[in-house]
Amino acid sequence: MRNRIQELRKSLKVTQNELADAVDVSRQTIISLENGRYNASLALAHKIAKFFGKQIEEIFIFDEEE
Amino acid sequence: MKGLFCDGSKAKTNEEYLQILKKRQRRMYGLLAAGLLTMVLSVILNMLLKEQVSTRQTCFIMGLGTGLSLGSVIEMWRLRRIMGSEERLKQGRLKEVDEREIEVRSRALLATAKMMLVIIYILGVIGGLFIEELVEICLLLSCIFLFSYMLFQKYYGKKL
Repeated sequence: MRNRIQELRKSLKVTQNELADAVDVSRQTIISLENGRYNASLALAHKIAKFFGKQIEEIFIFDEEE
Repeated sequence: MKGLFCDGSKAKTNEEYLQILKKRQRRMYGLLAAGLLTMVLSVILNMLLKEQVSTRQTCFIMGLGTGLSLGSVIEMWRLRRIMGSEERLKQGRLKEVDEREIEVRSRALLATAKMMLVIIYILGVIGGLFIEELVEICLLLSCIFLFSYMLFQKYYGKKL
């Protein structure tokens, strides 16, 4: 699953640390999310979407082939 | 490893995590007591049952007790250090509640379980050529492991 976390984060000039603090995860998790190595749970995806003020589908792009 | 015996993943705030750490610290006292008792046992065995119990066995028990005592003291010091700082408390809590960390631990545990089964099998087969009892012990361990797994799988299957 692809996501736009890095793109949205940079557009708001937010650091990985700040985003991690805001959604209550470690910075390493944000790095893994941005690299696509880890897929967020529904709860975390919801928190991230709420942080950016967007819908989950606007941030996480579900690839049907996966 | 500490997460195996005192789950910190439910802590939503630093205050809740602090309570979990205090509980862990109390358990460390128990572990320290167990370690000291083990060391005392080793001394008693060496004094009273010198003929029946070999030096190697008493030294092994002493080493076990020392390791347990030392480990619990170090852990208590580490916990005290974490509890003394808000920032360390937050980092410690995040390390335990972070879902990716939980997933990492879960996968590590699964891989370890698989590896242990293979090692027990190899130990039983090869070691059993030299020490007969080893085959039976390894077989017993494997059976206990697999039976426990089946039991817990049923339990959590109903719970979740």
